Amino acid sequence: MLTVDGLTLGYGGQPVLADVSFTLAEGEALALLGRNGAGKSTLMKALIGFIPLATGRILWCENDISRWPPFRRARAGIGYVPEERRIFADLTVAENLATGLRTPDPESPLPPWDIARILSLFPALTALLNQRGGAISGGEAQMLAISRCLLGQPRLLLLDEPAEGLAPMIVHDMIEAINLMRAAGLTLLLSEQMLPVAHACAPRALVLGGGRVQAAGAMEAVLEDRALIETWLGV
Amino acid sequence: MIDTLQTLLFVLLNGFVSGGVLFLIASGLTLIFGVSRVVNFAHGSLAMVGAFLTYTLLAYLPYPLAILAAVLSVALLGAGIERSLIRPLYRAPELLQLLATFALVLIIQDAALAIWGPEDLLGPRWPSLSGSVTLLERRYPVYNLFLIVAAAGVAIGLHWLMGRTRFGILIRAATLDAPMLAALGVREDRLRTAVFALGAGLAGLGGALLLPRDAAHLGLDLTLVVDAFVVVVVGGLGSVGGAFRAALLIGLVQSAALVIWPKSSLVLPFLIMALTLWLRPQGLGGKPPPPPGPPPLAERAPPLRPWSVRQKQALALAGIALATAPLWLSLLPGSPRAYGLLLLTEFLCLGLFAVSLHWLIGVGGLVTFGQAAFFGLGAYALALVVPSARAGMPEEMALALGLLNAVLIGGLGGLGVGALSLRLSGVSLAMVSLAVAQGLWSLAIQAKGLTGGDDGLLGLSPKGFFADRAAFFLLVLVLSVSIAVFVRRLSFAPTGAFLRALRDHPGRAAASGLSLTGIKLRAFALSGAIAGLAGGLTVLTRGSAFPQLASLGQSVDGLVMLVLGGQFSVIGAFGGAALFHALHSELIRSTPYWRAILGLALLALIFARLGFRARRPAWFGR
Repeated sequence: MLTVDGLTLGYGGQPVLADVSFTLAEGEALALLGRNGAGKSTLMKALIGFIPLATGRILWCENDISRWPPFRRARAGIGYVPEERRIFADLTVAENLATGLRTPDPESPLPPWDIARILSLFPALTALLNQRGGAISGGEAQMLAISRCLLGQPRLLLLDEPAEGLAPMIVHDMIEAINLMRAAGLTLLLSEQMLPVAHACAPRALVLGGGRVQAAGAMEAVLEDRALIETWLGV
Repeated sequence: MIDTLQTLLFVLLNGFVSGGVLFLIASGLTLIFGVSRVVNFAHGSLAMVGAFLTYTLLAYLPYPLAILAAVLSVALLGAGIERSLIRPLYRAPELLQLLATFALVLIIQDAALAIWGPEDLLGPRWPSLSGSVTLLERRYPVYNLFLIVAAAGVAIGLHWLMGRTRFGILIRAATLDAPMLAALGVREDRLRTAVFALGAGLAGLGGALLLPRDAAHLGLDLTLVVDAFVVVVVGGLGSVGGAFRAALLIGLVQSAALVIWPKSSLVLPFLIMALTLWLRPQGLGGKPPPPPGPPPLAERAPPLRPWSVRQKQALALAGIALATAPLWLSLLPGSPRAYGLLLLTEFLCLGLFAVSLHWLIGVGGLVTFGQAAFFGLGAYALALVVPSARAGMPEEMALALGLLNAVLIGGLGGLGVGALSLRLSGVSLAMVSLAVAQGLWSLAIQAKGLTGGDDGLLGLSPKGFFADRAAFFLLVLVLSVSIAVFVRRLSFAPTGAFLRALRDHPGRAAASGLSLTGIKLRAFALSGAIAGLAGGLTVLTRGSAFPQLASLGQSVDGLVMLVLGGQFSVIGAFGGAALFHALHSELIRSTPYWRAILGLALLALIFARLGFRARRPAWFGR
């Protein structure tokens, strides 16, 4: 469904990602692993269209979307949940949800998301609907960011460090929610520094280091490779 | 008792009327700014077009339909402007954005001149709303009451739109984080066009509703946009609710002042603005700005480098050519030497003015639209001192005293504007400096006793030794060259380095222990002093002082010179001044539509400078 082919880009002449390639089939889940600055978030931003590619291609459902603007990628079914969550602080939670709302495509194989289904996935949001987006906690903001994205009826979810800065209890809930979304048929690309979280959410892993793909394969195999973890993931 | 009540009621009503009109114009401006971060200088022009269009349409349609048709046409015009002109500018430096929309002001003004002519066009009365009602034994125009209702209706409608509809939610979201909205699948570009059309329509409505009460005329554009700037700054950029409160506040205070002390009504809006900026720089409804970061890549200044040997040689040659101008000008066949020297002296004065702007904008990154304030202050400072000084001392001393006073008053003006805008940057600074300059300009026109108003002050040509054009030219040459060299050297000195640090990254400059306040104040004071000197010298060159020297046109002329020559060097300032002076003196003589031509040339220049960068989609690279 998603093919990234030789993706290379940089900020102001400095290369950040070089020759990154991978594919993601429908319904699959892939975790991007790597330390701070490995290029995980940059890759996510390139996929939604915030950063232009220097070279390489992004194929989505057989279309080359490398030069599409973000709104078009979102409408084509790519949902982006940024690391900083980027909740509209002056809008209420309900209004934040409304910004993402899109009528579901009747031909889509996935069941449509509506407010009721969102609130059953994240019941904690129910009580917050009239709160200001800027006044909710980090965990709540993460739920809201994911929900806002889901209402756009995406088929692929780009989750940038969903567990970052969350309390352990909430992290547990978040993993559960991610697995529920996977069970509902969503394809998932997750960037994560916490290996246990990645392990609980995705069976495949791609290790980024120094802007390049250092390893790719089954999660178990990656996590057993001591040398790999030592060099590219350990802290 | 009834008298007091009566006065109070009418103060309130008049305050609501002027506040309502202010809100009609300002709401669109602030909406557009919120979503696209572009200050639309041509917003007043759109209102003016609304008034003119209504006037024309009234020949065929009854009032309500004529207004509706005018509003829709202006909205459509706004959408067209956004698509063609504004869209490539979203990622451009603020200076170029402001200048481009100002070019639009010039073009629309001449288009209106061509279509509707220079006369004031008084609209016919609105039959069902003419006449008056008796309130507390005094008569009050029905149309004023209608204006209050209309403004309230628009305010309620906007409140509903922003709070209750998805369109409004998206507008507010785009104001906060437009790229994120795009990542959620919203067509940000269409949203911007729609908001621009909405804002333009509101401006058109404001203009149309003014017609039955005031006349439609060509000066309406700048009057309205300056009023709207003040409201938007006081209300907080991008905040519709803030604009509402600010408009009401200004309207009521002005209406009260008309009863208590009529003469103060002109300066009151500026006092309110100054007070607001001092107590709450973000405005009534605004949020404190985020900590300042570096400017976008497109706006970054090139590093400052010493002149190469080549450049120094070229400069020396140019200097020699200028210094010997009195000799070679008299050798040229046919061309009168006096006229040539006059042109050259005028060019040097303009160059000095451009240097003052280069210091502020190029070195300091402080984009001001009110540099004419200092120019005008210097001009009048000299014009008011020289005649009385002449009585008691030799001519040369009197001139020196006048010029000194011009430098001093210009510098003090710079300090004042600097103090007012200490916590401002970017577009708010541009708007505030413009508003202050317009205030001074109207003061220069109204204070007839001091400035002679529109009749100006005359008889100021130098006498004695400097009555000789060549001597005076050489004086101006020496002054401007030494100041240019001084500014150039200062850019390398610590003062200039601090100022450049402030330009390139205010946050880091502050974190390194620099006092932004002190740096900014000094920058403004020096710039004001140089502009003041330029103004004083201009008065001596022309022999007269007129309010135009303090007008927005003068400020914009300076900015055009900077854009023409490049804002980052003193050579650019003089080069731009030479080019501008040559073009300008030719243009004015050749056509009554020189404004439109200047506007088109400005647009061409801006788009050429943006080059391919403008064509890169706006959503890249956050």
